[in-house]
Amino acid sequence: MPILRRLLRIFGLATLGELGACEEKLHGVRQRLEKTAARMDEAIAASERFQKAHRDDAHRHKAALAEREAEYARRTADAKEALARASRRIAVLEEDVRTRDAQLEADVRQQASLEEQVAAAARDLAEARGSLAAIEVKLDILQGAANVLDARVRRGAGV
Amino acid sequence: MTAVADQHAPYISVVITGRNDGYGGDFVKRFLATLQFNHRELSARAIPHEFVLVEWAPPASAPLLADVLAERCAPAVTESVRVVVVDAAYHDAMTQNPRLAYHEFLAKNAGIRRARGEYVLTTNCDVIVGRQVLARLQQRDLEPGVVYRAARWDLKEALDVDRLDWNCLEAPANLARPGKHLRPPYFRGSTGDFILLDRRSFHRLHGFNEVYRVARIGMDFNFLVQALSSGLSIVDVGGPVYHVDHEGSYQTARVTYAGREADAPYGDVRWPFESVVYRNPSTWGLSDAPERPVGPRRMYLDFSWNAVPPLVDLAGVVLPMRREMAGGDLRDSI
Repeated sequence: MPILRRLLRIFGLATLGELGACEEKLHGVRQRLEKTAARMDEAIAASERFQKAHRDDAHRHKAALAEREAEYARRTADAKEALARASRRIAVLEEDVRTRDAQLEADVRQQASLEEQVAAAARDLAEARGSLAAIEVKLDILQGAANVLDARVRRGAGV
Repeated sequence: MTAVADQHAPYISVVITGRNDGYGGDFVKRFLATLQFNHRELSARAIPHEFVLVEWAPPASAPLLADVLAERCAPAVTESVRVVVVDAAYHDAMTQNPRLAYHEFLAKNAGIRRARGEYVLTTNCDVIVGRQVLARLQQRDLEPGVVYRAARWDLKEALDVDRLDWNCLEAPANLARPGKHLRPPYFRGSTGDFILLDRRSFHRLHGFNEVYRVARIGMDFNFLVQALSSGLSIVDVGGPVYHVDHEGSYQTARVTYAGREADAPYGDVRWPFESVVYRNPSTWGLSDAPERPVGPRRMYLDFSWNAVPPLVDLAGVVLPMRREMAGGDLRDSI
């Protein structure tokens, strides 16, 4: 047999068995090819779905980004406006503080002046009281002396 | 008469004044008991001392205290006492208040002026010097220019002054009222019972006020005002003196004269003694009075108008220096 097969091969011929085996193999290959083609189609379809999903996501993200950019811009504008308002308010308050500070300083100066006046008045009062006391003492002395002299005169006169 | 150093001068002269007029009921008994107690305690501590007793305007109807003293006390006691008897005419000539029975501080000035001690204690005849005071005198650590004050603790009237000892004096149960404590700046309170100062400073201040002779009440405190105003300091000597209650003391008399203070025999308590000071004449303390010896350690001041200060000396009424300015001479007269 092997010699026969060798001879057939030399003439480019095959046995019927070999042909059947080849046809079987070919059939198997065709089946695998068809399966592979089907899988390829599935893969292509999946890829297309995947790409579509990505494109959809990208569109959504882009839309969200645009929306956020708009929100950011709006908020930035709000913040700038608030900053401007705050700056104006701060300026007003600073002016108010300066005014009050000046008023306070004036009040302090006035209070110091008043305290000095009170202290001076207290000193004057103390001096006046002292002078009054001295006058009182002198009047006592004069009154006492008058009483004593009166008594002496009366004694001398035998009254 | 000025303050001069005397090598034989005692460390302390105790100036007391009185007269035999029955003041307080049993004046002589209290006087003698106190004098003997103080002399004994001073001697026991070897404190060189003399008593200067000024009998101011003594009544002619009773023996002099000096005679009673000589009669009833041991020689050791009488020899420690120098007596200055002041003619009654001085009281009449100097007083500015006919109701005033006794010029205690004019009398004390006469004693200060004649005291020889390095230090002079002006006190009263019935004031017993306490242990802490005696300790200070014994240590001899007193400083010139400092007025020493002591609180007076009053003892119950029922105590027998002839039987006083330290147990009796220091027993809290014998206190007539809670013992006082002195407070700065003046350390006032029964001031006339204890003013201790070096003799030079007493002379520099010219003694107690002789310009205002309308009252004797407040004169002691007025001296403290004068002292602070003149730059002296005032401190508590560290312990009390003792005094046995008796009738006729200021504590009881002030109630009697409430509402008619001007009639009080010690003068009107309302005079402003805390607000004015004084500039006594240089002849303060009757320094120009003629002194006549009338026995051992005894002199009599004969009356002389030359020794009497003017009846009115308004320039001698002076405002005190403010406390923060005190330290020099008194402020000019107003």
